[in-house]
Amino acid sequence: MRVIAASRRFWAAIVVVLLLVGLQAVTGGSPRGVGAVRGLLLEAIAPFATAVSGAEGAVRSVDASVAELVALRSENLKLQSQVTTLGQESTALQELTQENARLRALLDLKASLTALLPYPAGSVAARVIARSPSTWWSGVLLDKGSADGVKADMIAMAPSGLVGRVSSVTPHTASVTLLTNPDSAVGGMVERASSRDAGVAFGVAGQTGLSMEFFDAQADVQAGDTVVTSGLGGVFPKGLPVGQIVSVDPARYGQVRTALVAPAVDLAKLEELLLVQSPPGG
Amino acid sequence: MSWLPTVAVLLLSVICQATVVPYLAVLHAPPDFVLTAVMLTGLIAGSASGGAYGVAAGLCLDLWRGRQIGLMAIGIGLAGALAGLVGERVYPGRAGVRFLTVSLGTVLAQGIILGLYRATHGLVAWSAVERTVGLQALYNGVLAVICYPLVIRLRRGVAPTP
Repeated sequence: MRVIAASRRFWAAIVVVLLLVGLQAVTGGSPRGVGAVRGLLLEAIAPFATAVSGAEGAVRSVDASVAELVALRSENLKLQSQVTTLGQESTALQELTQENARLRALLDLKASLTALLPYPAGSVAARVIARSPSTWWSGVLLDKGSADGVKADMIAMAPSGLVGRVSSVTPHTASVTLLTNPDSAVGGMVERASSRDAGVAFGVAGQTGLSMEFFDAQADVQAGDTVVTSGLGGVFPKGLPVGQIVSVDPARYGQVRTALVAPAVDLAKLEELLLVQSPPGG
Repeated sequence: MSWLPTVAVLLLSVICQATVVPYLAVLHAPPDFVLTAVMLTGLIAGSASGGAYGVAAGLCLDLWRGRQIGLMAIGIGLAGALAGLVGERVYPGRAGVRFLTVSLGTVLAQGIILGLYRATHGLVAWSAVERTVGLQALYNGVLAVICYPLVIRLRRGVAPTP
């Protein structure tokens, strides 16, 4: 039986080979009928091919979209980072520009003081690093001290006017008592040529401005007048801007005429100060 | 080493008061972190701790000013001790207790400080002071409500149980 089965497989193989040889011989030229069969085959295959091709396209498209999305996301992150960096740089630039303007103003102040002061006054520029923690006694702490040439009683100036006086110094810090501090007093006078009345301007606890008591009960003083240092007392040189008269109270303390003075400098927004040597012997 | 958290709170409050607080002023009335921290400590740890901490904090502020050493120590120390007395009787975990104690304590402390200053030294613009102290009392009261958990954490849970 095995021999019969083996011979059947052998003859079947021979038949197949012969058929294929015949087929290839028949279809070797331009066979008629093959085109139709082929056409039928291709027509039958086409929808599947289209579907597969579409799916492939879709896969390619999704693949491309994912790749694009990943690239966009990466680019977006990069751009966001750049925006953040540029924002920080812009802020820093603005800060530097403003600081530059303030320091320039301090330099101008230094030059104008050199011309104004009758004595050779050394000066030190310093930055405000803290403020007085007390509600009623205003002051600032500066980042320069005796190691930088700062001395007690130096005059603290901002470009727009007088700020106060150095009250104490450590090697690397200096405390400035502001004009509005109740511990502070400065000799002042009305700048107006027709007045020139003098008095003492001092801080009062709880008050944001200065109180000024004039020596003359009939002092010629009115709201809007500018007050400058009088030079009396020897601590502050003459002619430094102190502030502007806001209101005048003719009889608040008996015979003494008093006025409220708004400081020339916004003492709540101090950042850099110029410390100037006080008059010799002051 | 049990004094370390107290010193930490003291330093933190003084540094905040000297650097950040001036920018938080509302209508020229800044909050007082130091006073608030002292009274919160008193509420949590009792009158002795509150008083001692208040005196230490007040001395710091007096030394910063450089004159009349002891003036602020008296006012803030008394406020801390009184807050401690309140804390020993009423549970300070209630927001209303903290708010009222610290607000009234602020008025008391500033009143003592300015009263002593007026009596011994200088001029006080009372009308301006009233407005500033009023606003500051409200501000400190709100701070006390907000900062209580922080002080508790810094003091490592030494609050009295209700």
